[in-house]
Amino acid sequence: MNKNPYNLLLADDDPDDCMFFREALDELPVRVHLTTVNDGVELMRCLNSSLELLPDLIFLDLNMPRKTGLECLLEIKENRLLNQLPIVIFSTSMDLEIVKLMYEKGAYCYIRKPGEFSQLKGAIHEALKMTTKKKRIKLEKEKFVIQV
Amino acid sequence: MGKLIRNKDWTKTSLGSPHTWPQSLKTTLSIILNSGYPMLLWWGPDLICFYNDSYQPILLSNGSHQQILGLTGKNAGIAYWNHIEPSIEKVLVSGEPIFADRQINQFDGLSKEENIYQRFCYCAVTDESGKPGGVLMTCTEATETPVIRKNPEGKNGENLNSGIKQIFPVQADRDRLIAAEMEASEKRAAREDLEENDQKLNIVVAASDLAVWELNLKTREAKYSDRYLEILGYPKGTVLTHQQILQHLHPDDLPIREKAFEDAFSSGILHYQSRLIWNDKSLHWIEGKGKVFFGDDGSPTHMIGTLRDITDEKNYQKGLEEREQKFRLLADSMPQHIWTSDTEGNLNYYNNSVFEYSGLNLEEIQKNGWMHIVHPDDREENIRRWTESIVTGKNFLFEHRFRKHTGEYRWQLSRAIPQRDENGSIRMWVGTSTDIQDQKYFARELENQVLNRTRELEQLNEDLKKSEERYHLMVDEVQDYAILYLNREGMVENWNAGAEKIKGYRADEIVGRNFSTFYTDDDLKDGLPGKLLNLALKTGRAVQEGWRVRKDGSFFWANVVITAVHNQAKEVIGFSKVTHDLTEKKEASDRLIKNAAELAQKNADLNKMNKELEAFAYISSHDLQEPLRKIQTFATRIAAKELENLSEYGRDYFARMQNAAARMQTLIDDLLAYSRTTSTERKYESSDLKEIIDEIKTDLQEELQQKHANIEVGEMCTIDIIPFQFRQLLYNLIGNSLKFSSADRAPHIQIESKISHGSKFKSERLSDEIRYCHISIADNGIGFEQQYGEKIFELFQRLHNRSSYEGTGIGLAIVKKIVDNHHGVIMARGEVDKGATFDIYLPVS
Repeated sequence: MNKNPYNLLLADDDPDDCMFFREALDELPVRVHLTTVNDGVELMRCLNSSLELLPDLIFLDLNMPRKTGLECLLEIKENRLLNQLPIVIFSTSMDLEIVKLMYEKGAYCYIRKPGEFSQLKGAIHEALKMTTKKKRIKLEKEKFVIQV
Repeated sequence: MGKLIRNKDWTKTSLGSPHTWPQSLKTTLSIILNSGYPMLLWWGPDLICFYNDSYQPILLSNGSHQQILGLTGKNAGIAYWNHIEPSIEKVLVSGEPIFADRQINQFDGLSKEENIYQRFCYCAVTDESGKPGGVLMTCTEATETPVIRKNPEGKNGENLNSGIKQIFPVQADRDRLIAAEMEASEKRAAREDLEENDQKLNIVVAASDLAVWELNLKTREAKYSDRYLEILGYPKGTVLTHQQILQHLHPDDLPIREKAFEDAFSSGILHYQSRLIWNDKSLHWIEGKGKVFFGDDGSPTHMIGTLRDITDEKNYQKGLEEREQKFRLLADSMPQHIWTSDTEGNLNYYNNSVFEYSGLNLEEIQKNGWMHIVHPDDREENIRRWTESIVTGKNFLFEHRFRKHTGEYRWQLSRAIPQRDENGSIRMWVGTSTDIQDQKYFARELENQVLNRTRELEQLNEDLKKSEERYHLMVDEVQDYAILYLNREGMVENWNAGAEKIKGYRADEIVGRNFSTFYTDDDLKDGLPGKLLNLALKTGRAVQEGWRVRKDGSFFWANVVITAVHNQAKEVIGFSKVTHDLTEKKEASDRLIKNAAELAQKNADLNKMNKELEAFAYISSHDLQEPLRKIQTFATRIAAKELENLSEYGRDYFARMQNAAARMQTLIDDLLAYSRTTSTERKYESSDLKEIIDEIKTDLQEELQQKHANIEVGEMCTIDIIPFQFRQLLYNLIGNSLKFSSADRAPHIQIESKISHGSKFKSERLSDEIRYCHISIADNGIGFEQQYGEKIFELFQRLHNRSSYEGTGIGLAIVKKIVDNHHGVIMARGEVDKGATFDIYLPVS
């Protein structure tokens, strides 16, 4: 990979999921720096306060208190300074309507949180690979959801 | 005479006793007493009579009272006093004497008629005043032979006249004188009679307005009474010549008069009527009658006669004639027969119509009698009735047949009424006969028709009665409907059993009362009964449903139809009212409504619950996933890190635990899918089924490959479906076919679709009316027992246990739900170990 640490930002309110995420990252052959926020408000504040050092990739949970992932997505995409950030939707649900919505609103890809840990690792790895390689090109709809 | 005078009591007279008499009177008296000439003296204003012996015979022959001595002139009863008196008056006034002549016939006893000419001289006697105090009348007589007047002797020869000196006492003539005297007295008697008759005649003539005339045919001299002149239009005293008189005759009538005179000369009788024109040009009618006197030679010598003014009579007669003429004209112009009869009943006049009708003339009718015109059968009664009328005077009225000149008999109505005079007695009968043949014929026809009609009507009546009875029974016995008849004001006139049953009143309680009795107070306030009647009046019918009141005050729900009943003239004469008690129905319907409302409410509640449930299902599934995922993840973490630390049992249980968690995941996924099928919007899109199947093929390609499965797709339709749902449906079905495939053979799935009419499918669940797209998915898998054909669509229902085939039992439920969403029908056919076929019918427009 690259020498610079890859900055990831995870927005998830579930502590278990955050733990899983970190453990997954640890087991992945990547060198990333993970920042975690626990709700949408915090996410936005974090983003807005560190504009000079924005994360390279955001994993966004949808069901967050105070401000949902969708709201954040919209806000980020509307923010000229932020809208270049690739966002991976990281959610429990697999509602096709929601998936479609995320796609339309500019999320880069979609991961449904898998039950199996190994699948989780694979999904995260895939997401990292995709975003580092093809950052700026919008994925085709079929490729939007990362299959585990 | 002198003696008489001396002896008379004069005190009773106006002269008084003789010694008061004036000398002139006395002297005059002595003169007349001594005179041999007959003399009569009227003395004084009363004209007291004195006369001498010589005058007596004249008195006797005149028929005057014998002893007129001392009587007033008026009372003396002297003959021709009314002629004499004026002469006396004249003499008294003028003092000049007046002569009067008279001719009398006298028998001289020797059968020789003699004419005696008497001349009277009236002269004045002056009295002391120098004026005439009286009138002396002297009489001289003369004939062709001298008259020897003897002393009047009675039958016995006594001297009747005392104190009279005999003037011609000649013996030789004595016998002749006696005879003459006898003749004379006879003559006198006759003359007196004559004079009396004359007098009577004058009176009669005067009373009768007759004018008297005398015409000397030889000399053409005429004498006329004053009346004659009046009749001619001249005043009294005018002198007219015969020529002048003739000029007054109407020129056209001169010949009549001529003829009358000619006839008179031969017959001796004159009678004519002619017109007279007065000087003032007025027209008058006269009737002249007369007698001709003939001389010895048989030629007419003179004529005496009367003349009468008959103008009025003539006018009256003319008037009568004109009226009669009019009557005749009228009578003849009338079509009716008019006839008259005398009081005996004999017909004496027929108008023209009778002759025309019968063809007979008057003589013929009179000869045979009018009864011959009458029909023989009617004659007897006719005579009887006519006679009755004549006798009783009652009006005659009879119908009989008259024979027309053609021989035909025609009915006549004859009427006759009596004409009465002022006293009420009948003068004549006037009758008419009117031809009533046509009326009679007509009347007979009418009678026949009436008879027929009556018969018809009776028959009709019978039928009507029967019909009415039937109808009455029909209406009467109907129990479920109250059938009433109302009059125009709404009074109940008829009642049936149904009415009693429904409304509770008996007929006798309600007939005659108004139908508004049945209405509730609220309806009465609104005037509902009246409104309904009006509506029925206007439109013919009024229908209403509402509450009504029974006799006991209870309410019932009525369906009422009020129909206006019309007569032939299309006027409304009443109303028929049919009431149906719908209380039960209403209650049922109310219940239904209530139930429906409840149902709707329940449905609403249910829907709400469903929605909540769906939401719950969704959310809970979603939320359930979270912990489940954790379990799974942690399990895997432990498995990854700590599995060696577990015993064999530990590892086994751990595996089962992971298994369970995995199943739970599937369950939740399926539940989520199921709930999504209900909660998402139903957006129909026209979709090609083939495309969808191709997509699924792609999704399942690994499994297809792995199982060497083959999906054969027939002709696919393009129909309106909810694409995402339908994809799910096909995915589930095809997935099932793959899952439940037989180990013995490669799975083969046949998918067909066809659009047909519902009737072709012959299924109870399909409507014959609409078209369906029939999609069938048939496999050759393990099939199933048909008895479970419906069960398999139920939620959580599985036919196999978990160890045989995995599954949540939700897949087909989702399929069914989707088919339901498309308003379609799904049916499963299965044969164990042969395969299963799923038939889906989706209605297409």
